[in-house]
Amino acid sequence: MKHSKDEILLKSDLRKYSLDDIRYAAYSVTDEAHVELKKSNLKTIEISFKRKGKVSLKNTVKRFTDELKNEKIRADIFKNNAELREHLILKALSSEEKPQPQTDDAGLTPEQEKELDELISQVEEEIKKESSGRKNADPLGINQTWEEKNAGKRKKSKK
Amino acid sequence: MPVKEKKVKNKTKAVSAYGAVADSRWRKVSGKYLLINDFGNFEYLKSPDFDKWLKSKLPKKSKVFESLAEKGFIRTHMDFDKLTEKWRSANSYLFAGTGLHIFVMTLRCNHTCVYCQSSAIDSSKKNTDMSYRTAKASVDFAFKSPNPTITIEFQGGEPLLNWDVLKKTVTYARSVEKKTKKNLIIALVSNFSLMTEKKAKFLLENEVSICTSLDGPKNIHDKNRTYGKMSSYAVTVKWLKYFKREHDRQKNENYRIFKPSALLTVSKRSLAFGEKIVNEYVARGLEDIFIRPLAPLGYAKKYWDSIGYSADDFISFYRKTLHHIVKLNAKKVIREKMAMMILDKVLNAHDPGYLDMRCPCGASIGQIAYNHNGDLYTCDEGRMVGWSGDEIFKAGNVFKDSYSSLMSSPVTKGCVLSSNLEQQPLCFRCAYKPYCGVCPVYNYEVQQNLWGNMPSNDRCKLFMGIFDTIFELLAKPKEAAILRKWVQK
Repeated sequence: MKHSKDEILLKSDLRKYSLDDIRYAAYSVTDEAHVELKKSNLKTIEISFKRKGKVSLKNTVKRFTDELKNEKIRADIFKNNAELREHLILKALSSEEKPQPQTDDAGLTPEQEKELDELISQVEEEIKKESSGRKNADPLGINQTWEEKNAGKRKKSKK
Repeated sequence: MPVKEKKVKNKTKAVSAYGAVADSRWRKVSGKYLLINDFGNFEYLKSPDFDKWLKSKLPKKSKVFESLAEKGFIRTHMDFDKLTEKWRSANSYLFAGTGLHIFVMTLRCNHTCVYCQSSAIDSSKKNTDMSYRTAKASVDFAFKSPNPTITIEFQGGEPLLNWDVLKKTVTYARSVEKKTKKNLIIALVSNFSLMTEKKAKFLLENEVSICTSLDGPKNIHDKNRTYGKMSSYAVTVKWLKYFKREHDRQKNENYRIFKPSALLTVSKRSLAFGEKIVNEYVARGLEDIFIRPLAPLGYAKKYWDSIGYSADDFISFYRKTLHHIVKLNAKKVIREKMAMMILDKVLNAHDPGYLDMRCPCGASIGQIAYNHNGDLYTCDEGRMVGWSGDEIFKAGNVFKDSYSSLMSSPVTKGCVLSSNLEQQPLCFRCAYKPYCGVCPVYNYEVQQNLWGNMPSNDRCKLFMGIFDTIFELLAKPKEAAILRKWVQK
């Protein structure tokens, strides 16, 4: 392992850890470092860590090596269970009840349309009544725009 | 050949080393290993037991083995029917279609909140009001969803500024509900500043559930939510009291009156006042408080330096405040909604409808935001990005597109794919994967792409902290009993 303040170089044995394991462990520390993977030869990967901010690269590399060990275990377990997992999810998906058929049209029958028109006109009538004299019914000016109320003040504050 | 034989032998050994271990994820919480599997089952293991489990060396007659086997952590002892049933229940939203339909009735607002995520504009620009024609078409569109329960949520701006259209839309939506025989839930999110008894009566008679914002005691609320020279707090409290009273005294009416609810948005200035904020909710007779983190979207993004905070700051606030809430439960009923929604997933394998924490996320397939002009967005956050000039999350228009074309639009597909945790490297390996979700809008706004980079993603860190807090409490019998009670069915 070579290291300086801003960069650490590490070598990993591909016979011990797969390229996917190394890739994931590298990804998991990308919050703290730029990580570059380079194949040295058929058996070795060279990993370069360049720090992003004020972090200790040693800690980042420690995180990487821990994650690499964990990833190997996870990958083995996942591989061991891949078929079973797919089978269970497929079983769960396929035995789900089918959703209710979609209605063709959310429109109304002529009778319902008539009933609704009456209802709407009734509501509109109420709104008209409520609206009459509305201009005077806003003593606090809450129907005014924010700009209308505050435009003058804003200009003042900018000055 | 000796070399080949050795390779095969090693390979077999590697696979069989975890022979009895079923697909699971783990994380250290409170000094123990927390195991979680895709079925949403969890188990705390002490370090020696974890090692034995990993090496398939747990005695079959031990309690630990039995418990792990029942929960699907031992691959040789799995009850397929029970486990798949649980998975289906936890992921039922995958089969339901869009449930939440957010109607942006207007972009106008008479408040100037420090964090306004909806990027509201002043109330003069009436061209940002939704017309009745658009609202009616939006109702029809919403009912095209195969979901048997349709929720229409009126939002803004301040939706009461477009009251006439809102009123007609409620009436129309109820009529379509009758015709289609679907279940319709209508909700209104309002600052109450334009509420009158007449409006309130109409809303109650039409079973509209009422939600407002309450950021805490007067000094905090009014600083966050400026309402000209008036007190937003006074208006909010007045109408909360009114709706609570109407709820409490309802008898055998022809309609149900829902208890009003309030939303808390945590800004930087809230961080020092967790206990006071909770006490304010208790004083107002509210039984639920939703500790929502602020997201750097819309207006909040512009002023993030003055109102925002780090994930660590929020986690610390959340942890302290949740502990205070749990303590209060000895005397009062007060629950935290974020915890409740997570607990509903963890303990009941039930989807609480929290669209930010789904896999895939709720974009289009769980919610649609209907802008005032009929444009359709994947979600309200996506609509806010559109408002700032970037239409990446615009998925269609209510007059031009069908429900099915919206579902198969590239925008919807992009969000679904990028929020699929199976394809997010860090999430796929995370213990909390079965309960969590990522947000493409957040990723896009903060990390400039839909996928984001989870190792440096503050939202991921924040949710991780929330999950840790909840699982730490679940590991303590006394606290766990209180939390379980919150979501007991």
